[in-house]
Amino acid sequence: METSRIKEIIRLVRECGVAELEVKDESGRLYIRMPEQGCDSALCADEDFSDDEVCACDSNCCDDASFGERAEEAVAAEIASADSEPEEGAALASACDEAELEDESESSDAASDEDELADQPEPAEAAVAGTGKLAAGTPSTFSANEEVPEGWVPVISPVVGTFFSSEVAGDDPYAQVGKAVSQGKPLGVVKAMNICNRIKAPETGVVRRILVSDGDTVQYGTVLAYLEPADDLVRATLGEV
Amino acid sequence: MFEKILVAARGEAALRVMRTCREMGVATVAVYVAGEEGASFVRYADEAVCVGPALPDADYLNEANVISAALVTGAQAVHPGWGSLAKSPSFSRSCAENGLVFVGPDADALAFLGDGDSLRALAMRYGIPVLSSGDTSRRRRVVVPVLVDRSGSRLPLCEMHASVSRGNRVLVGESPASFLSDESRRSLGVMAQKLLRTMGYEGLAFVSFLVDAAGDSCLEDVQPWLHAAHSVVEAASGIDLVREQLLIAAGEDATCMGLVPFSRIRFSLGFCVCAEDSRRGFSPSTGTIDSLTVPAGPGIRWDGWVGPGTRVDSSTGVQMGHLVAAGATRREAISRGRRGLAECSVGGVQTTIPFHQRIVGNAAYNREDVYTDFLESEMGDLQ
Repeated sequence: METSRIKEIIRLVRECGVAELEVKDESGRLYIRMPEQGCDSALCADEDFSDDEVCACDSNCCDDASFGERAEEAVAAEIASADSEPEEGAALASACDEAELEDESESSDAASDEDELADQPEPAEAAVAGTGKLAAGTPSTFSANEEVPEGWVPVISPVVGTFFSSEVAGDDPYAQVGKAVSQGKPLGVVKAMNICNRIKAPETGVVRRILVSDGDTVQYGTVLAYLEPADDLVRATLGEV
Repeated sequence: MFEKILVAARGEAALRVMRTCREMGVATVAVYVAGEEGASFVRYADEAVCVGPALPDADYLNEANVISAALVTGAQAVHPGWGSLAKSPSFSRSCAENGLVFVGPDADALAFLGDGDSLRALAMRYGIPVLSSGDTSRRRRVVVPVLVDRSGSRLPLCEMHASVSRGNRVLVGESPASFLSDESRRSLGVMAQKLLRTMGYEGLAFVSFLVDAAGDSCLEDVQPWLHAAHSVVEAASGIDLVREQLLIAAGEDATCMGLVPFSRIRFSLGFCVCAEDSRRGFSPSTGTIDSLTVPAGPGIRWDGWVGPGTRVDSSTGVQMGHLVAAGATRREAISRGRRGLAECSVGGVQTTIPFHQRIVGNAAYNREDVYTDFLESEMGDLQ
């Protein structure tokens, strides 16, 4: 990816206030994380922060912020490792189902089950419908009392099972608050009967709230997260426009 | 005994099973679809899991989500009630594969009994008569419940006369079938046991026969699940069939293995009360129930799940409950049933109560002159 393009993207990211952004194109992957709130460094706050300056605050907020020279190095490293990112579907069996791996004759059935489950119609009205009781000790997975800004899109579980933020234990979670995702990209998995059901982004947007964590029991209609639908700027940075 | 079971049914069936669980100290998990969270059976359960969207198909419960709900809540067994999951071999198999006890037969037995041809072939091989094609003699439908526990004890319980049926639904049932001679009753019990023994069947099954006026009988089918009208048998025999099902499923001895002495049998009459307009071909009467008075008093049992505010439509099912009246004699049960029907009042939807009242007032019904063509021959104006 050309430096000028990277700088342009960073500028767009700063302008629209996105905290994290991942961009993928034929030349590789670019991952940008902006300074966390609470960093009161003058440099961070400075609108005219020059490309050559690096924030020196103690919170490490800018270590990955990718400005100036260091930014380009960091980005280069990210691009270099881009090929190792698991492609859609490729790593499905790895984390989820030892039984599937052991028994190949069943793995195809399991895979088709997974597709079937994943292809269930989006439960549009279920966000408000689900107020059921769950086992004691499981978190309240419903956000009925929580104010959600108008326009945010709920990400809803179509299956009953156990939530995991990524398919491979220890991997970075698919969904991170502030991170932009394209429609159809995974935001987490719900494991049910040893099958991982990938929960896909219902539309392109920025993850604003995540309501479940690893190991939580979820049911049909549980709101897992909220997305703020992407505006043109976010779409541009995702390469969708 | 199990510590926790999931009840894979809705409405009346779910509530019926949970009531016995509560008596036995077994925790319950309900499953429901979106929009049902306020329903009586959901609130009655210790836990509840939403397993799917509201769909127009009343029997819809997503099998995979139900199994997953049992696993995530730590249930040890699944009771399928008497809806679609009780009849699904794939669901029974899926329970077994996931380490859950299915309260009902295994997948092979369920598939075998669901296939009329294979059942008829088996019956004929063991000398059990089956209905020959072209036979048009008038018959009565008699259903014999049989319990088989792990030790192989088989007990034919008090039989039920499915007096008035529409399709698979028994609108009026009574127990015992007092028109049967002792010899006929014994013969039905022997045939029902023999059939189940040949299969190595375990659990509760309802074996249905067609009996003609001369007392000759032939096998009709086998329903290997808790019959929707089982409460009629319970009221007559004093046996809790759900309790026996759970004991057998848990590998314990059933508690009622020994014939109920005939002197202890009461006469009972059961009505399946539905939100249907019997004057319009039993078309579903949809709406929200705004008032409900349930029958009570001596000899009356009301197994209902609806209440004021319950929405009744094709997605929730139109079956509102069973009213069972019991007495020392058939005459006493009928007069109690008549009183119970008069006490039962439902506002907001049309119900089959006026239809049931016409039946108990019918002269042929009171003479026990009731055959499978009763609706056509006596209530022809409803068709």
